[in-house]
Amino acid sequence: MSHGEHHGEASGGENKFMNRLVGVTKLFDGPATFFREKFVDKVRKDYPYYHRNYPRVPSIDECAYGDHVCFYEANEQYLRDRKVDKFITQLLANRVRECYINEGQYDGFDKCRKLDDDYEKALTNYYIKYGDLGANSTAIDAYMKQKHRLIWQRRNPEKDIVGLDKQNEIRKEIAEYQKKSIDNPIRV
Amino acid sequence: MPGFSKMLSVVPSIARSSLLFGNKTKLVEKSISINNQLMTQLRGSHARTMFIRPGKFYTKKYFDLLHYHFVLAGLPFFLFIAYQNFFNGPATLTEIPEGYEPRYWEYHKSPVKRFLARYVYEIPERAYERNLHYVYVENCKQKMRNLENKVRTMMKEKQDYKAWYYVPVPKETMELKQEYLEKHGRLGYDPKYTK
Repeated sequence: MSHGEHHGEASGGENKFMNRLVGVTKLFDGPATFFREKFVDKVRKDYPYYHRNYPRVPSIDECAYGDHVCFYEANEQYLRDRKVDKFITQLLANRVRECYINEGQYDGFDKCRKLDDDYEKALTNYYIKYGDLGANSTAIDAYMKQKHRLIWQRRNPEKDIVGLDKQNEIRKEIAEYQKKSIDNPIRV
Repeated sequence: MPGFSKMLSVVPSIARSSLLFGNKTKLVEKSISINNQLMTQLRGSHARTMFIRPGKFYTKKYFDLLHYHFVLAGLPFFLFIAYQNFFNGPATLTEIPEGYEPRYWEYHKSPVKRFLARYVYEIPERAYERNLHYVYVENCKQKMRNLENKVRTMMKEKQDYKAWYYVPVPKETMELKQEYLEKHGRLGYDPKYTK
């Protein structure tokens, strides 16, 4: 019975003011819970709903030339995967934002470093796979992008265009400079 | 009664004529004297018969339309949704049990959405397979057309096969042509009669 549960009793602690505020919210909560527990829960029966699982089909690189049915299914799978990856990046961004809010802008740089790195990596990978293709892109566009990227990497083996390590070094330098300047601020 | 309204319309004139017969009435005629002549007072004021107030047309029209739309369309749906949410509440998310494939409406949470998905909207699996069929049919047609065009260009280049660029003539036409030529000559008319 998950919909009838209370998500924990609210309490303001020892603070009298907060307790009374919480009591005011119970004004609105009381009739609703009374109605729910007396009339509604006794009439309803629980029944399930499920999360749709799509089976994996052959992706675009496993399709034969001229097999448009395979292309269609691979394209549908590509669009679903793109949506899922988009939501993953958004969840990681929410975690980073919450961490910075909890720790503060100054401490967050050290304490949220792992979350921030994960988010950066997820974003770069998303951009590598789906970026700059547009909203109505197809699986074939992403496939050709991957092909061109691999060819470029084969021709230029030493270069690193993503530059995550260099970016982190620059950030560390700035953070050290800021720490020093807080101890010795410049007064004009 | 047909003449009832006409009888009623006489009443005000009877009321006015009571003044002439001098009956006791509550009407008081105010008279003033000008040059020692009695004249009835004219152009005096009396109680207000038309009350000036803001108009009621637009407010009445507005509430009438509101009532119309809400009671005719809104209330039945509201009652239906309230009934569904009171008696059959929203569903709970559960894992799919082993060896069981959920029906296509059991993927929705709200009872109203389940009802619509079950009886009104089309089955998504069926639509998916139907689209795949359309793609397959068009793919076959495309392949056949490509093959035909390719064969036609090759025949045109090589000129070694008498299918597209060779029209066979049956001998009956040639015989008919000979007869015509004997009869009329090359130009189609007899040069005996014309130049």
